[in-house]
Amino acid sequence: MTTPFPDGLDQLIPPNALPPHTLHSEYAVDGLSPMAVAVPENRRQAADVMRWAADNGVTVFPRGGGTKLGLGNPPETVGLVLDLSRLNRVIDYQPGDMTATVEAGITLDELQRELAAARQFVPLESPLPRRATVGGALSTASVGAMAHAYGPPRDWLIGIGVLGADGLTTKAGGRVVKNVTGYDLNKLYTGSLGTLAVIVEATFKVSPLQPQERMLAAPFASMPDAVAAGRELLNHPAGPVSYLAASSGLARHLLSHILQPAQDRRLPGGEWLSLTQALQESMGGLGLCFFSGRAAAVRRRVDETSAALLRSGADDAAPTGADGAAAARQWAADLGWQDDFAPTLSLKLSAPRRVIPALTDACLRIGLLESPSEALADPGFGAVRLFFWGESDDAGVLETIAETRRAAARHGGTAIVETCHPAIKAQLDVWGEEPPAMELMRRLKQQFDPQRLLNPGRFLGRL
Amino acid sequence: MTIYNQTSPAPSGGLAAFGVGEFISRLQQIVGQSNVVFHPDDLLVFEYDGSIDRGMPRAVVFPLNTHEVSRVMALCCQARVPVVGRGSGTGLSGGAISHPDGIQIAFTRMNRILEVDRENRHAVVEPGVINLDLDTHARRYGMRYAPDPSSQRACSLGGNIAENAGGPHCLAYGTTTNHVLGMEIVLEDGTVTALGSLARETPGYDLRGVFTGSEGTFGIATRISVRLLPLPEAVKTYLGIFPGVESACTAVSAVIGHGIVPAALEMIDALSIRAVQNVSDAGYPEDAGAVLLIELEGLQDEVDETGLEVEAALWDTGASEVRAAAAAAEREQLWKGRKGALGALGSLAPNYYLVDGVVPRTQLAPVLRQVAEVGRKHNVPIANVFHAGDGNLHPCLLFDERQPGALEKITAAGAEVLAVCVAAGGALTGEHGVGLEKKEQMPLVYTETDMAVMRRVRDAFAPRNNINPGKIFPDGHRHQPAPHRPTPGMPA
Repeated sequence: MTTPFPDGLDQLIPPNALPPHTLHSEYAVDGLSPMAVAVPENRRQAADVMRWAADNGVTVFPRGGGTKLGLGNPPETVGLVLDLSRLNRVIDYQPGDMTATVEAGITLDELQRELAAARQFVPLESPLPRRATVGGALSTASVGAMAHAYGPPRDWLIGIGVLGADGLTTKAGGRVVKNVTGYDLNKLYTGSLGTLAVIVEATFKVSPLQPQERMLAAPFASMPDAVAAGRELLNHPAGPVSYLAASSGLARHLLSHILQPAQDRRLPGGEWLSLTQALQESMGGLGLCFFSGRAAAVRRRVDETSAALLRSGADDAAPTGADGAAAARQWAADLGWQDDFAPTLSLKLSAPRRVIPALTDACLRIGLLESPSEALADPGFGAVRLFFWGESDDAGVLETIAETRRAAARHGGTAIVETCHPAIKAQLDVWGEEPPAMELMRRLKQQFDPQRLLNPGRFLGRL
Repeated sequence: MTIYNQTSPAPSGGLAAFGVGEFISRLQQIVGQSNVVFHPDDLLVFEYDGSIDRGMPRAVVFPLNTHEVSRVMALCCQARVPVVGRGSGTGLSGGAISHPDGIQIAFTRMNRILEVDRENRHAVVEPGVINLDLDTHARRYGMRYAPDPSSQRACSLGGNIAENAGGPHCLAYGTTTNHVLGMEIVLEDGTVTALGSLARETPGYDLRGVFTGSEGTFGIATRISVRLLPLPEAVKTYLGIFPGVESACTAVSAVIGHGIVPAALEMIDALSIRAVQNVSDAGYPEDAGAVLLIELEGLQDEVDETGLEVEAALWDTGASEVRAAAAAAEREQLWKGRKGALGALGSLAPNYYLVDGVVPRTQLAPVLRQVAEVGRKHNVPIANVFHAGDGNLHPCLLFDERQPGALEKITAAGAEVLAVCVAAGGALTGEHGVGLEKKEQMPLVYTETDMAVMRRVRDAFAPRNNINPGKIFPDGHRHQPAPHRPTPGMPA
């Protein structure tokens, strides 16, 4: 921005909604500090700020809990970070209707706590749910271990309130679980990374909490065996409801950092996984079978899956209770997004479910210099997350990304770069190749945000 | 009685400027002489869909493939002749009704199931494939296509996409939009592009999501990939007979309160029961005030466990009788009354007007009371046959079109029913679409600004507004319906 940053923001919202310059670095996007930060206390203030930005041509970078702020192409400059974390009210929750309307800044943990009081939940999964917000999970279309069982966030969002690039508040959908009144803009905003509008309110249909949750962890000699077993199990009527396969490095991390310590500390709240050291050492991949439902059904699923696992070559089928299952699910969601276990590079591949074994196999042959890749495969939903912890120069990382994308394309899939250094991101489109409908996407962006104020440059095709 | 020519001005240019004869001959060059219908007598059947609206197209073309659709669209765009896609014409909101200066593209010849993939659990179909044909085909592979609109014997996948069709089993499995993986579409200028893929997720905006349910105003889907689901291990159907709608609504809440989401949860009220019994004996007692149908699916163990709870909930909330069936033939018998209910309404009145309001589940009982009040006020009998589990009402306003003023009366009463639904926190339509029928009522739900944003999406897909113009959004022209005769087996 060549012109001086416009003023007037301080007249719109109270001083405590405007963090001082000294704190702006905490709101950096891909290492770039914003010129201003606003943390509005309510939707009206948020709308005022948005209108101010529109009037002054200031770019706006919406932020929830800041957990996935690194997702997307790096911005050229960062005008205003609009932090929505104080818009965290439950607006209307009717357990009998099985719908909940909330402000977008509510954290996933808080939302689930509210719903759990009436034995309900919404199947939204995101890394770091104590910070991650509903708006962020929707904007990034975040999915996790249970995506196969429950579907992605788009399946649960029934109504939405947004701030447009012109500062006007609009809504789509409603508070009923089945609704075809007008275009389904819920789908359009979900996964649009805040580039069409800023989500300020969301209504979900919710689901009953299942009385039982269990997990079986099954070590296999190789990762391909673990993925292939999952594919078979998911075709079994009494198989798991969701399945993940973790390559050996990830599996050891799960066991040693999450499940084993809990076992050692004898944490209350359920049986924790225990695998012998010998099994852990010979393990090439770990199958994680998730179960939820009524007691009798879960018992049968666990029994039949356990037997099937051993038949398909698993060295063990170690059970955990609900807490172990929840810990493993959260571990999977968090992977790649925590500061203390950050990979050099991570990608998310989406592909038809039938190719997941072959695609995982191909991906595991890709390394970063001397370091092998690690994979978390979901043969039910049709996704592979790929992680590299090796060190390399930019050219090496770029080649690894290109190689991964070639593998994905060969299998009818796509690969987006989830995390890597901004300097590398600047040299490619993290979302991959432009799809056939790119022209339609450009037209949509032009219709919704002609000034290119909302997260400019960060989405597919640098929209 | 004609409707469309009163509601939408013809675009500039159009057929007249081009020359009708010349235009028809160009269409024939694209799809072949025998695949263009333009004689008024032949066009009569294309004037209607399943709703109370009508509009005669100038021609109907029957393309064979995407290439032909693309060329027809490009020609129409160039000539400024509005286009609307038509599947089977079972729609209930006027979505497939033609602009009077427009043409219809009908998909009767594009009806092939191109691919069924058991491992990837998907099917690829052409838009003219009938919903039930796809489901039947998928069952050979141990799978099914879950969305099951009541018109599924007749309705097409292309139409299902346009309207985001629902059906009884959408309670557990979601509507059409939850099952579409990808599409090949043709835009108004003939451009062919692809949305989504055979994977669950693709980078970029979720265009397949916003396209589904766009009521044919964005483009025409010429190839559709949908998810198939494995068949459940066990299915059990419960039928509960209740003294009245109120107690049946309490039963709905009780079932949901147990943390059970059945595969389907349907209700029939006293008037509909009378109609059903008039036509054939579905085994309902004469004094029954409401019938609830609940279907459970899943593992045998789940169905057994939740089945006991459902049964108890039905008795606890005042059921006078509970029947259960697990075998397919017996389940079919329990469904018989529900499936035949709309057709049976013909035994009570020559015509009915079907309203598609949707309300929060807990508002079912009070809203049904208010709906009955609207009926009394207008002296219109109202029968209710509906998807209780997701709050999707289907009040059927019974009337006789031959009586003077009857149409105006039921239109007014229908509008009041929808106003009641919206006031209770609901919406205008759960699964039938806005189309022509409800466009003037859109402001009950959305502000001008909300609708302006929706129009932006349409302008991105169809900047010339040459595909299915004059639908969904209010344009100030009064809605004047034509009557709809009840037809057995037609949709709900």
